[in-house]
Amino acid sequence: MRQGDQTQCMLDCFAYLLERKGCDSRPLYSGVWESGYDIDETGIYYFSRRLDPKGWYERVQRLYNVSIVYWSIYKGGKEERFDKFLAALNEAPGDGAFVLSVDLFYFPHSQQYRSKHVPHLVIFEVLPDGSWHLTDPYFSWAGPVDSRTLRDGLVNGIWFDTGSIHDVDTAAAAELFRRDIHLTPNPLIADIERFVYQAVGQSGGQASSTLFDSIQQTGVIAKRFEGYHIVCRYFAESSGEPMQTVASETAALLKGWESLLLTVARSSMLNRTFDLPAFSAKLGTLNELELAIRRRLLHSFAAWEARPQRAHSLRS
Amino acid sequence: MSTAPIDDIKIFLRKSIAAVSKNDSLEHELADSAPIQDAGVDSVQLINLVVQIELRYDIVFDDDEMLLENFETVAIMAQHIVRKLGVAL
Repeated sequence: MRQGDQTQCMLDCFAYLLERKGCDSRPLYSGVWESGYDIDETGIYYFSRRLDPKGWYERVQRLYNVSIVYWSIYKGGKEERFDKFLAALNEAPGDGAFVLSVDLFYFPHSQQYRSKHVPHLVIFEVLPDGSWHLTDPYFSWAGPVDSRTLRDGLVNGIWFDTGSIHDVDTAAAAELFRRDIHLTPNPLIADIERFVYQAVGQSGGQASSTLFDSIQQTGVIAKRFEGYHIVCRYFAESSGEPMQTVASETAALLKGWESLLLTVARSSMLNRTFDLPAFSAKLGTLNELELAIRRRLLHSFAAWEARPQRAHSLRS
Repeated sequence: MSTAPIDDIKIFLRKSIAAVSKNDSLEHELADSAPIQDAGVDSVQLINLVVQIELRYDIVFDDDEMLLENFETVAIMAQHIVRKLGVAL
């Protein structure tokens, strides 16, 4: 089963709920390494209303027979959204949980509390004693929540219906993985390179004071590369293949992105002349590392597919 | 090259962390082993701190050293600075 690394807050919520039902959540992370982000002239963003999560809803339905029910789609002000939520709460069927899109600015468990507006997803449930409870798998936190906090910080939400859930459909997992994996560069590499070259060019060759702000969220996007490790662990454990190399290479990839972004941040803060060739060389190294991981993941997948057929049967 | 002993370095670090995070209490209350991000230091403030360290001690962290784990606590940062300064303790 999966163990609590930060990968992507929505999938981490889904995985938490799946595992609580005894399902193996790891195949759900297939493709997270190239899941959506938004980019415009102001920056690169891990969250945007232009990004549509429906593809992930369809996946969780296909893999685990979990239905996703919308109850609000960004319409109205705080009061209206909260009223919609209360109505949805009253109508919620018994088996499942709410996954809520919130603004961490209003949530005391967050480091961004009262300091920064940050979109995030958490799990909301009503406990048997009637109290309201949040679980935040991404930040490994769980605790009570009051109505005032939710009223202020609630943005949107879905009902994650586990009434007909089953363990992962391995045939669907294989088909989705084949669709997700390829040996061409992650578009994030070219997008950040293009953005930084343009920004530095406009600042006369220097890393402007706003450059880091513009690409800071790439650090959150890069955390999705943990998905390689999670999916590889699934294939390797099922097939008996060794997987230490993917674990260490994924860790190196995550550290490489972290180092790259902190280096840009330092240049940005000092308004230094920016070494674009060195930046491109680092991106090239990260690209090679990522493609090496993908090759190993394909190898693990081939071994998993070749495992004895009886292992294909679904757990119920 | 500075020859600041490690205790002086830690005092400087706490003072700087308090300044970048705009939380004066950290100057006196932040433990050596407490993760500074848990104390409310965000990534922008952390980079600000790194820049201050480099300027104060006339050292440069290599790009490969620019990892959050190398700036996680006062104790870890102080050890890195000491190593870069080549100070015998």
